[in-house]
Amino acid sequence: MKKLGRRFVRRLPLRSVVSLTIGVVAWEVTGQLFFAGRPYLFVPFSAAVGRLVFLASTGSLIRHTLASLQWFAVGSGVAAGIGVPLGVLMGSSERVRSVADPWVTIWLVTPHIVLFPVVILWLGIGLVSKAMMVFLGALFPMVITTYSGSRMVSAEYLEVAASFGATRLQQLTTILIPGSVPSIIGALRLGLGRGLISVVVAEWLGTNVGLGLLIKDASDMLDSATVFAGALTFCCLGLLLHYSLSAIERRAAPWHQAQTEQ
Amino acid sequence: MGYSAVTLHCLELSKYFVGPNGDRIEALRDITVAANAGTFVAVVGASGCGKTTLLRLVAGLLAPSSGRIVVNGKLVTGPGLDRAMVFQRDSLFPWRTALDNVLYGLELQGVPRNIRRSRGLELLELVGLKGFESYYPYQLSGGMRQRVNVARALAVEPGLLLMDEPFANLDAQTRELMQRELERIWRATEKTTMFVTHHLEEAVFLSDEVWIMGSRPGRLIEVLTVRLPRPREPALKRSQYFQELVDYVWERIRPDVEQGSLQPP
Repeated sequence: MKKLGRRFVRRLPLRSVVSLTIGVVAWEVTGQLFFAGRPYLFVPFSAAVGRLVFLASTGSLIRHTLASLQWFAVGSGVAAGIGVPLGVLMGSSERVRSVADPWVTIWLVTPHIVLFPVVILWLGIGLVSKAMMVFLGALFPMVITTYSGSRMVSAEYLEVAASFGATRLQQLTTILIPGSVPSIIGALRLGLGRGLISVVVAEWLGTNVGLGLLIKDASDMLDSATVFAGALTFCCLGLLLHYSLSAIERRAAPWHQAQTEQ
Repeated sequence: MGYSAVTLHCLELSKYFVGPNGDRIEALRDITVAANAGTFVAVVGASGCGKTTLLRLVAGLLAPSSGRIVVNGKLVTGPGLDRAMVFQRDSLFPWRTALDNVLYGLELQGVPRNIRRSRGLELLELVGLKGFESYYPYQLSGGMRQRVNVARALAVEPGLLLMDEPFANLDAQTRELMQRELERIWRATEKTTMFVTHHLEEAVFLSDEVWIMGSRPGRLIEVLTVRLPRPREPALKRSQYFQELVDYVWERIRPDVEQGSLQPP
């Protein structure tokens, strides 16, 4: 953990640290100076963090977060399990591509949120329903990103494989899949981000537990401190996902990052 | 296992492509030529004369429109383990280390891991990359990458080594060095080699035979035998005989080069 922290700090250039610090100070000062008597409109950074600590100490933050993570994990896990293989298949087979492409495009350009009321009608407001909404949000960005990435795996590599007598299956396992690892990571990054948005929307539409509910209830009662505390929690979850994926990419595709940096 | 050097025969070989307007483009016309086992053949000609097409036909990556290619008495119908190709551009797999790139062909064949590994290490040593087995391609220079590329082709123990301008993207000094290295490796392995290049000095320096091709349509205009002693030393390039050979090849392809430079591709 200590090592991880040190690496994180080393990777963050001084300018970024300064810029972040200025932002937080500006937030604090704005809250203290202009919204001193009106905490229902805006709260300083310290108040948001204070509320976060308080909510954590009562256990309510953890309960809501775990609930949200539950449907997030199920929905985006299933989305990755279907979306990534589908994307690779679309990249490798003309037949799969021509069948799947119009549907993927249609779903991608349609705001998937319009379906959520229907999902609630069909599946209620339980785990399955919310996992389904996360799934819908995460699936198509994952498919399309994996697909376009696997199409970019150079045709030359496939020709090399062919010249060594690789079968279609061997071309898939030795060229397309390893060559697509960076775009699969990118697909997960994009899809999980969309999944997180879907968590919030799903919970706003109806739930009895979850971070989105915590934020919405607080907002209804003009409790801005809790709203900001909830937002900070989502921000931390997003950052955690982001850096985990970067760590996975360093392990799974060490060649890629170094190559793009060159 | 593996192939020692093999003979290559091209018999009345022709290749057409279908152009963008549906018209037929004649890439190669009626090529009949043979290479003895263990011969180093350089294929030269103006851009667009079809030398790379000829190589890809022999590799089995393209099918001829008519005619036949016979390698060691066997008709070529597709890629095969008796032939291996060294590609022009950076065709090493970036996600594999140098050693794993070399082992690729053996892996496809299902050769056991420990046998694979020792053969791969031997080959890396042969191409002068001992100790670099765990480097990724991005960590290697252009010259080193092409050494790995050569080792990858040699790993499957082909009888016929096909090289498509492997040194085209290297700087001039590295290129000189790689020519000498290739000649050394070739002498050590004695593979029949077909080496496509537009660099005439390189062609004469390396080869036993230069196949000179003409353009529009691509055809073989002469097979020139190069009688120079081996091992070939760099000083050879300054000898009068060497220069005469290079000048002769240049005169044979010059009309095509001049005409080609005034035409759209």
